[in-house]
Amino acid sequence: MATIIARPEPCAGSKEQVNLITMAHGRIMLVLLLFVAVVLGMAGRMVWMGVAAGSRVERSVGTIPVPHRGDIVDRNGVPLARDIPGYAISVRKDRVIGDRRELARSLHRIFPDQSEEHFYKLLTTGKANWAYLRTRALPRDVAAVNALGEPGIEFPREPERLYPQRALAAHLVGFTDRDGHGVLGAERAFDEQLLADQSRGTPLQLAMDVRVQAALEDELTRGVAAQGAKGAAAVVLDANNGEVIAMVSLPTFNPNHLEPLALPDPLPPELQGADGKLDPNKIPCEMSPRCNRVVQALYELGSAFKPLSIAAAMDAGVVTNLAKTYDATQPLVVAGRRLRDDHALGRWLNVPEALVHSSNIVTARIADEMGPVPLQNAYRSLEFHQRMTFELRERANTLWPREWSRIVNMTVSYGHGIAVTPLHLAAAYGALVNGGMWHPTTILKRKPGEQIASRRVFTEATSARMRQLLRMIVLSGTGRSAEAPGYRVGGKTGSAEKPSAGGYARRSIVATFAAAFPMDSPRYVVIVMMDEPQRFARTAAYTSAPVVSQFITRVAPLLGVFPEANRDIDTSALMPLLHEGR
Amino acid sequence: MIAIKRLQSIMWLLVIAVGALSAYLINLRVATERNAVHDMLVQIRQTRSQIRYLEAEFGARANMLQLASWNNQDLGLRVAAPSQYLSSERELARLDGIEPAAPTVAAPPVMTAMADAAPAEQPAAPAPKAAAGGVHASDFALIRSASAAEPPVAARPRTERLVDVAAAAPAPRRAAAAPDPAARRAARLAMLDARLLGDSAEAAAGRESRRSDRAN
Repeated sequence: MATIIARPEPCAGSKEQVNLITMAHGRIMLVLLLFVAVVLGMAGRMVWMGVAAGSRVERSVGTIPVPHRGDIVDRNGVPLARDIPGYAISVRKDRVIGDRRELARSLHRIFPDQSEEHFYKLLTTGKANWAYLRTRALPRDVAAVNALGEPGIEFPREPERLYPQRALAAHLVGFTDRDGHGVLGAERAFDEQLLADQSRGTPLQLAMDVRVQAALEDELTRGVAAQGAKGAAAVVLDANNGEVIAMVSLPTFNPNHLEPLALPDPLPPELQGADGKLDPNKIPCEMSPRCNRVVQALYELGSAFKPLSIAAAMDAGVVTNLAKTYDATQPLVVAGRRLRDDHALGRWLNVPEALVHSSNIVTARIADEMGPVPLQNAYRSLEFHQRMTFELRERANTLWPREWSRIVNMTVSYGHGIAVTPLHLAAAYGALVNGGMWHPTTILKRKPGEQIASRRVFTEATSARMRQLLRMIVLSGTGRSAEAPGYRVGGKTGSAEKPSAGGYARRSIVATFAAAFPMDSPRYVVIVMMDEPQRFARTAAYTSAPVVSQFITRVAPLLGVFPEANRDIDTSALMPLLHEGR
Repeated sequence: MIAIKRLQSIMWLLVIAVGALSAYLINLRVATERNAVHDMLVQIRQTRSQIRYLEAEFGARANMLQLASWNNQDLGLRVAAPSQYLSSERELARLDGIEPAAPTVAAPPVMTAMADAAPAEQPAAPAPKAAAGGVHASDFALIRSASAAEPPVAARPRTERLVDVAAAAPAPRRAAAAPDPAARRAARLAMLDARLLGDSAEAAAGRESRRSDRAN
């Protein structure tokens, strides 16, 4: 067996062969690199997805549902306003196949508050093909309309503003319009914040305590019903930081179901704007339950101003001796006006007696001795000359005397001739009892350690003295019906006649009681005001003060103030100054 | 050899293909997990939305006005009276319902004095409610009523317990009437114990109390 080994002939161009092999190797390497790159790319992608993409996915989804408009909650987190997915009922007119008259009749049966003609008009006329038949529809109504089987009717889900507490704190929380913008209260004041992408996920926390608010509304409603008053207002402030714990204005409204205002027809000129249409800002409080009387209505609050004037006189160095007596035997006649006391004692009175018996004459004499400048300065420090520093947009400007004459100085000292809102008075009483510091009021819950832009109005010693005097008014004076045993209430009545054409209406009274408790270490200020109580006894001692007593007895333990029969502010040094105490 | 070499390249190809496939499978797995996580997040979000909705519904159904209405109609719950609040364990211990034999004594009133308002020599006014309602019984009355329930032979251990109570509680300013002999013995023991413990305030109160006993 022979083996022939043929020697391969050398290629003609060995150099070309080498090049081909090199080229093949190069291509293989290229493919290899390509594969390696793909594998590396995939591996890298996997790593990327494992490390970074997961968090991106979580971010993009978000597990916490963000409402279209931020929630509003009270100081303990109880919801006051919330977005919920609600139903609307709309119609596409070109897709309606049934008899429109019959459909309108069926809709009227489901929604009796709207007429059949109203629905027929919506189903037939109008330029747009699409129209709302109903907004904020209840699920059972939606089911009833769906059962009609009309394909032209749709049920879009829309975010709906719900106020779970109904009419409670309606003026403070406010409400929104059809476009989802705030119209009143906190909804209006913080409209941008509630709608902003960055902040709408965080609830807006108010300082208001819903339990206190409910108790105040309940007691005030009973008081108004008992007295037949036209309206009422009440506010509870934290005396040491200006937080609004409760704010009530009566009559009130339900923000979930807004009733149209009962305005006179034709519209009187004083309600018309420049275009002849209704100007919402000109609607008086008497005509609108949406008016927040705590901040929008101006009142001459009467004798409740006396402690403020006396405190200003103490700081001005005019009242240095409380035992000094002033002539209150006769009405005081100044510039042709006759200043008299409602409960004239016909004798000389000292300062504690003047406050306890609410003497206009003595207060006017002290103001006259003090002069206009110290009184003006004190009132200006309390912002009685301007709109209150406050978040709510609907704030009334005050009525500040144009000319501060001698007689004006005297009448203003006991709360006549100057009109402020009840909130002004509440903040002023906070300064009067808390050691003399005026704190700007706020509806938002203050953060611990928050810096407050406060200012000193009264000295510490004056504030301490006023605490004694206010307590004496409740123990022995006109405010006896505000006493809540164990809670150390102090306060001052104020019964002022309402201004009318050509003077004051003697039968129309604004009865106010301004209180603070506990007076040995004041924590809360309570202002209750009734507008025109109609029963026989109309003064604050019979109308507002009992409401304060009931309210404090009911609410003080909730606020951490417990009754202590054995604790009180020491008034023993001043009691002998009262005629009855001698 | 050539075949092996060719097979080797195919093997490489296969290895790479398998590698790529497995990488793709892992990628698919990751994508699946990611979708599952996404679905879970959406589900959590929807559940939270439902919780929000239900909270709103509960809040609306049980709003404060509704609760007040139910209370007025059915429950009839009322605010606790000031006398129902107790400030200390001592007052709690007095809720035994046993009428004190001696007239009651008010605990010393706490009066918040003003820095420059009340002169030092002014006596503190008595608390308006404390003495009137018979709510605050004196220590002597408590001791008397407790020891009276025990037979005389068993008085000693009982007295020791009462001594502790008397030593822990602030002493009254003065006793209004003389207690019975058993209570006086117990009270004296309490004062003696307080003095031995070196509490000057208690001892002073004990002396004051004994003086008032003698006066009566």
